[in-house]
Amino acid sequence: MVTETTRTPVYELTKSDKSFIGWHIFFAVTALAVGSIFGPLQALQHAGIDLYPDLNFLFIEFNGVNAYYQGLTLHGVLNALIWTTFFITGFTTLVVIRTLKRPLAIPLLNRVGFWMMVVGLVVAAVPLLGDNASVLYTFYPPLEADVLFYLGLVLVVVGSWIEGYGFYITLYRWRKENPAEKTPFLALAVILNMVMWQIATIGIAAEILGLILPMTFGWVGGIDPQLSRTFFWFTGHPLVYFWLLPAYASWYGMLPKQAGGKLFSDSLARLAFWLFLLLSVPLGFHHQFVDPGVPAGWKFIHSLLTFGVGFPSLLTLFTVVASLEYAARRRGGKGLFGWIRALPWGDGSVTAQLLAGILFIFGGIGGVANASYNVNLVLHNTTWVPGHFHLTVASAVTLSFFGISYWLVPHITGKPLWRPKLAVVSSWVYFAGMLIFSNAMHTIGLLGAPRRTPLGLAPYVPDEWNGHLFRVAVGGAIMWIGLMMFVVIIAVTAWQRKRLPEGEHIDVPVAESLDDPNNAPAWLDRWKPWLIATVVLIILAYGPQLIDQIFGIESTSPGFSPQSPVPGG
Amino acid sequence: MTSDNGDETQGEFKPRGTVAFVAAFVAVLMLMWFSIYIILLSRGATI
Repeated sequence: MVTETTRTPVYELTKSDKSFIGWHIFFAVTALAVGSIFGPLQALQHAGIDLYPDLNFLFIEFNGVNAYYQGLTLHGVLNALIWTTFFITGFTTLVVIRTLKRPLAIPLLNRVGFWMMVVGLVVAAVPLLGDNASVLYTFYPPLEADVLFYLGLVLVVVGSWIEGYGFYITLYRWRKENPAEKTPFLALAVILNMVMWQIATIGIAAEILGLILPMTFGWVGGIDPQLSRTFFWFTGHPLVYFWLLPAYASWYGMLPKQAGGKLFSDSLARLAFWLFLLLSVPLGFHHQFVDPGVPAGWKFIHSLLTFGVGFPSLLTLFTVVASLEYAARRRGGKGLFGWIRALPWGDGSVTAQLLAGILFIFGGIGGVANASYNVNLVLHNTTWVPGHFHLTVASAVTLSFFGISYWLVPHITGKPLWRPKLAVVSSWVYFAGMLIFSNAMHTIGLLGAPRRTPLGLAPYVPDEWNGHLFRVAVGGAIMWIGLMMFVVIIAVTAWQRKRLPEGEHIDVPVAESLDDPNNAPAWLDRWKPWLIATVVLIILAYGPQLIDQIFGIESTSPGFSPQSPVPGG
Repeated sequence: MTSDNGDETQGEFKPRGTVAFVAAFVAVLMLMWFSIYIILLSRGATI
């Protein structure tokens, strides 16, 4: 439980390490708090209530349609990219040090990576706040932002790579020091996620460095939007797994301990993560089902591979729920479903993650519909899609990170969680808001409402959408209240004067496994075969199409700014 | 059989509730997928 303390931590992090992790969380939560302001503004705008002009007392000027897209870009970049990346690298730092029980091999390397991310954030923020980069977080060319936006993103991504190198060297040193031991599951899980991220971001690096920056600097006359989108979605879908896998790591390796049980199977957990490494990247064409430049056969192959990634997802569902059932039955839970009531719902950290999991069930179902080549045509570019990814990144990921924060911040600050009961309430409020919001977004998506559109200004909105648009607004506002509760709880916890009693600590919850991790097959602890298989599968799934698109490149689309529909304007 | 510390072992623990949970998930998934498929059909084969 979040309030449970121990006098004998298994491995005590240094003050410097805790401070370093704390900076990650500070920037993550700040980005979340600022970016989320625009969430309810989007939602209210859909219902015809435009509050953007009310923000004009700030130094930023929000006007008309531009305000909607500037707000949407700030919301997407700060919440989907910055909150997640900073939180994940901080969480990974903590997990690596604690579970390998050793300091980072080259702490300076990780610090350089982190501060590079911070510089990147500031550099990207300048054009974002100045309405010179309102290109949404997908920044599809030929939309063209200020060059600082792209340079900032490059610094954030490269910074995260450098932090990753620090983790790999640390794991390498640990394996040298402990040749007979299997890598602890949690360390394996979070480092594997960084590896997957590094492979996946090759796509966005190629897009920005090879296509967008040459256009922005004026070295070439235009850009090839099709190739840009292919590069983007090489990164874009595994990006979702980069967000999800740390949450999964917590569900597999921490939540069972918090719930009073054990991980059902260490081997199944490892297998699921290796399969995510293998299958997360080669499926990006399922985001491009209506792109005319990608042949139908390749779209079909990527559709099948997307269903392939459903296998480790189902493994995760089974293993995590079995771990929770085990915990609940130890706590006296009875019945086929009655055991769910016996879980520790009074614990804010546990409740947030359980509710994240419940919402993600619907996210998973929606994901199967998205990946279906034919059914996708009903949903494509409708509000169904943002409704779906609010169930993934804004629910499974964000609510899980809330839950993790409820023990992590007390752990690194040595201070008790402020108002633990409010932590429970915050998750329920957010959950309720998300249920209303996402259901409405999915429903009007099925009715044909387009995404990326200020529906409050659209003259074609039929009457049958209005009730749902009102629910979008109400749900969005309720979510924001729950989120602000989280921000306040974390801020007060971090800055309060009250400390844990002398000698007491809040330890990192690390679950034991019901099976002996040392009995796990050796191939579940070997990197080389999995990395080779991953690269080979990517080459098979993307190689021919990339060669075709790169050799057939037509950089003929001139860039245009979001404020002007005139190319080059 | 129990382990040294008195806990159930993996072999002894039967996750019946989990199996029911996963079965319910698959049923809901199929129901929702087919409901969207029917929308697809209702809009005509070429949408």
